[in-house]
Amino acid sequence: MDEERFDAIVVGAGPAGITAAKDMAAAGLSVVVLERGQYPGAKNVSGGILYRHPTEEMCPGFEAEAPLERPIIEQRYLVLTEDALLGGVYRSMRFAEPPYNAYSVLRAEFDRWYATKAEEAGAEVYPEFTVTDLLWEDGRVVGVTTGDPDGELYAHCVVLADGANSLLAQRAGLHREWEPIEQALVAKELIALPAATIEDRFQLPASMGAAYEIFGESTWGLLGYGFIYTNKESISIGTGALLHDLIESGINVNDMLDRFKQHPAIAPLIAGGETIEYSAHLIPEGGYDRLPKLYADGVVVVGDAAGLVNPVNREGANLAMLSGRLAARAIIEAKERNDFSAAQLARYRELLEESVVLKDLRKIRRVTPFAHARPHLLREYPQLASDIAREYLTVDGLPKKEKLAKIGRMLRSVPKRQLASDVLGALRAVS
Amino acid sequence: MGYSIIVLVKQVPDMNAVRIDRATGQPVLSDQRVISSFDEYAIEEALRIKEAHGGEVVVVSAGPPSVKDAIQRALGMGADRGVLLACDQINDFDTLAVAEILANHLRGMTYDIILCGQNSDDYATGHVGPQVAELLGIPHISSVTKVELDGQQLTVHRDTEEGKQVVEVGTPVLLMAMTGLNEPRYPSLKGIMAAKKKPIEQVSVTVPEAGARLRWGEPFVLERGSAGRILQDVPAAEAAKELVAWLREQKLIPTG
Amino acid sequence: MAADGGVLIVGEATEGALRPVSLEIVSAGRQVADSLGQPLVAALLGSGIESAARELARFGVERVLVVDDPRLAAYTAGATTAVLASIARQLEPSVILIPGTTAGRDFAPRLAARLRTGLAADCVELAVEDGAVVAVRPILGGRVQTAVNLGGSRPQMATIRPGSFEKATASGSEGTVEPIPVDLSDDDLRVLVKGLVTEESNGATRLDQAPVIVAGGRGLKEPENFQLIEELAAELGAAVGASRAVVDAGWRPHHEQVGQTGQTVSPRLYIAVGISGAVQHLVGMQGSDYIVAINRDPDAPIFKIASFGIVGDLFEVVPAVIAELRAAKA
Repeated sequence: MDEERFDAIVVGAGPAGITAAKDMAAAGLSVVVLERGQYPGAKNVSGGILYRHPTEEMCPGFEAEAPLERPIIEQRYLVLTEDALLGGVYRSMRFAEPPYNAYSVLRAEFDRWYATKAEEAGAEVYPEFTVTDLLWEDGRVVGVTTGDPDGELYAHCVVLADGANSLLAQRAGLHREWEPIEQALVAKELIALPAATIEDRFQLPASMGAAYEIFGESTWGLLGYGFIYTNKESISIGTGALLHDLIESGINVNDMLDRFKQHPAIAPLIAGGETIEYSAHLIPEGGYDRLPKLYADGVVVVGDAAGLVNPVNREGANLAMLSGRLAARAIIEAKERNDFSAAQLARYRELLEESVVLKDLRKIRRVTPFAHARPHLLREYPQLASDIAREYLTVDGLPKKEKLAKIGRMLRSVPKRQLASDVLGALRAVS
Repeated sequence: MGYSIIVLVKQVPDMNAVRIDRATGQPVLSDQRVISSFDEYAIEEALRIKEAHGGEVVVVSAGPPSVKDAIQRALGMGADRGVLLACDQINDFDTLAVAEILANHLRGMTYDIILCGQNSDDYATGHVGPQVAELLGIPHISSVTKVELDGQQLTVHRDTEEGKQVVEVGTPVLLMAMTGLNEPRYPSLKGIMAAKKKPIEQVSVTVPEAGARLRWGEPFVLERGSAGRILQDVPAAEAAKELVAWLREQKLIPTG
Repeated sequence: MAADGGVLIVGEATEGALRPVSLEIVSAGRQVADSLGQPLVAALLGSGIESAARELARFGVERVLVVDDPRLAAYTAGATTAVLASIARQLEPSVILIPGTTAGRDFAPRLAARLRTGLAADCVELAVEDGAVVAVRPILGGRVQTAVNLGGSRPQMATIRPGSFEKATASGSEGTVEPIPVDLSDDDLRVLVKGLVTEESNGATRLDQAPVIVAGGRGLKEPENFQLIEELAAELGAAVGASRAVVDAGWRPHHEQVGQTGQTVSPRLYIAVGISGAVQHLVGMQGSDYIVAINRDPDAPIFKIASFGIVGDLFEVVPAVIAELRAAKA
């Protein structure tokens, strides 16, 4: 075959794919990135938090060039009931000075800029091309096709970075069909508001930002969470839940978002804003125990396509980038040995296990099943907490001794066995 | 045989990504730039003529460096080479000045046919084509929906209010492509990759003295005024009655 | 060279008859001429157009310059540009207004280039400020408008979007009709018009002249359902229009398409059935006097510009309207 053959073809120009492409090209490999969107990032969705430290490792000096929204100085965890709101806040002025911990970002803009870094390193990035299938020879992946007559490209190794619900990962035999229990469906809106209004409503110093994660009524009690992140001149607001639960309960995620936006504690935050963007996307939730095979002869999987997402700590993009880096390293080694077999590419998995990617995923692997098995955590407990708080705060003439006794009775209404199981389960989940 | 074909292409902001800023009432253009829609028909027709009869297709565009992307896309579709007439402030000039910039360069080229789009997506004047033709002293045909060639004689269909006008004209001629002329192809991946190797000549232009023939004001959004009567959740028969009564009231249908 | 020889408007005639758009351009010209205190002069080109010229003279035009020649029977840009350039050099008008028809927008730029002057395209409004014509025109796919000051041009030229001005009424007085000799060289006649292919628009009412249009869109679901549109149109004596989506899908011919890449219409009444109202469509019909919209989606943009809207199932509403119209006739 005298076709021009590249060292690597990367499918998908998101954080994982671009990082892989950038690192491989910087090491002198010939790399082509194919992206189905109009531009890299066009089809990407994320709530919108980017962590500085891992990103700096991937892309030193990025803060000077990349489109970033607000440094996050405050984190709130909130629980919503139908008519109440309770939770915790942490704000540190240490977060308000460089080096920052995290920024809010607009994924599409950031990815678009990030892709130029891969091009600078020498990778060729072609948007508006959708890879419809892989090409095989003797059981090895040897390239990709875009489905057009002239749309076949050959490479020593293909990197699948095509996002959640990756069809190509299935085609590659790395995964059976993705199950609804392994994915969350999230709907998100970008709501435009003047910077001063945002700073006023969230009580922020100029150009600083806040991140809210909200449980309970935000997801109609389903396992998932709502989020609100402040951007320079807009708010990212979204919510979602496990696809399995949405299907079972018949709840439409758009309705869920509408209801969330209308909640009396949430509506004032976004009042008067114009929705300038709407998107919905799947997020892998299967965790460590449901990871696909991450490599085979001539192919590796990175990022969301590989299910490498940590929903507990809200980390997806940085794990994607790190997986892209490690995949690149494995492929660079494979190129040195001219061996792109599964045995050689297993190095990728090895590197992942040694890295924070799989270490963290292993650590939190029991959290989602734990929470999923206990729907009362996001329904009855928030309501109970709200009732207790209301009781405590209401001045109604009841002597404090009796009030405390009443609260004690409320607490005791929780079956002891359930409470014990919850506590034990939680300990086990995070150990 | 072969024809020397020049295609005039304009790069415009993506009209699908235009937003109106509620606060200022001003349009916000995306920096996503594309080839103006009608120009794609022009490029496609040029390629079809070349594929059927042989020849060369040269893409010419005037503007800032970003215009290179538009030329590259046309090369990816199959054009042979490109010419970028470098002019950062191209949008500041009126159409006659733009036509002068183009014509000044085209005069030094050989061509049988010049193709361009009927008008551009952003300002939609449709002036540059006829004005380039006038400056070059060649005929032009607008609203072209069909082109047939017989040596140096062309038979062209024009879209008019009465239907399709059939005209005959000899080369050299400038044709303005209209919807219905053809279905533009998508550049293939191989085409885009090969386009990187095709030459694009960068030419600096002498900016014409535009004078102040036309002076533009700030764009503004036309307030349509409040919407009229909207019926919702009204049974069809009732809604129909109300509509017909209203039509009579407004004298839009004969009364009685 | 004061170039205040008047406001020159160019009329349009086909097959010897004056096209109604000519009366719109008379109104536009009248408005500018009155503001400038200058005479209104019209030019009319064609073959066998003597009576059309006399008709034009009855609408408040001081002078009608007629260029009547068999070589002008069919419109070509070359001949028209040459004749008008010659007239312009003689007359030295301060302003030239041309209808924004396919012919008008075809020769106007060529004429502007020959006269080395500025031209504003597709204008919907005209004003005069300190002797300068200020024209308003839509840009960016019709989403916004902008004002163009033509004061720096001599003559000041503009093409006027059909439907933007009311048709002039007969003024009672009659202007002079002056035949102008034509001087055409071979160069001006390089394009040969062979004829018209009209099979598609055979018999159907021309959309851009129809006073009532009923247009259908994707909401009709199947091409066969367009019968509803045709029936409603028949009841109203209306022309049938279509959105780009259904034309692209092959349900209706291109000459029925209303919108940015189809026709711009400004009928008295436009009824949009199953059309959501994407900007590209609105651009083609928002100049209609009255707009009625029938759509199942309450958020459809078409409702924002509708004078009367019905949110509902068109398959129930349209037959009900047809029945109601028939009952009203009975």
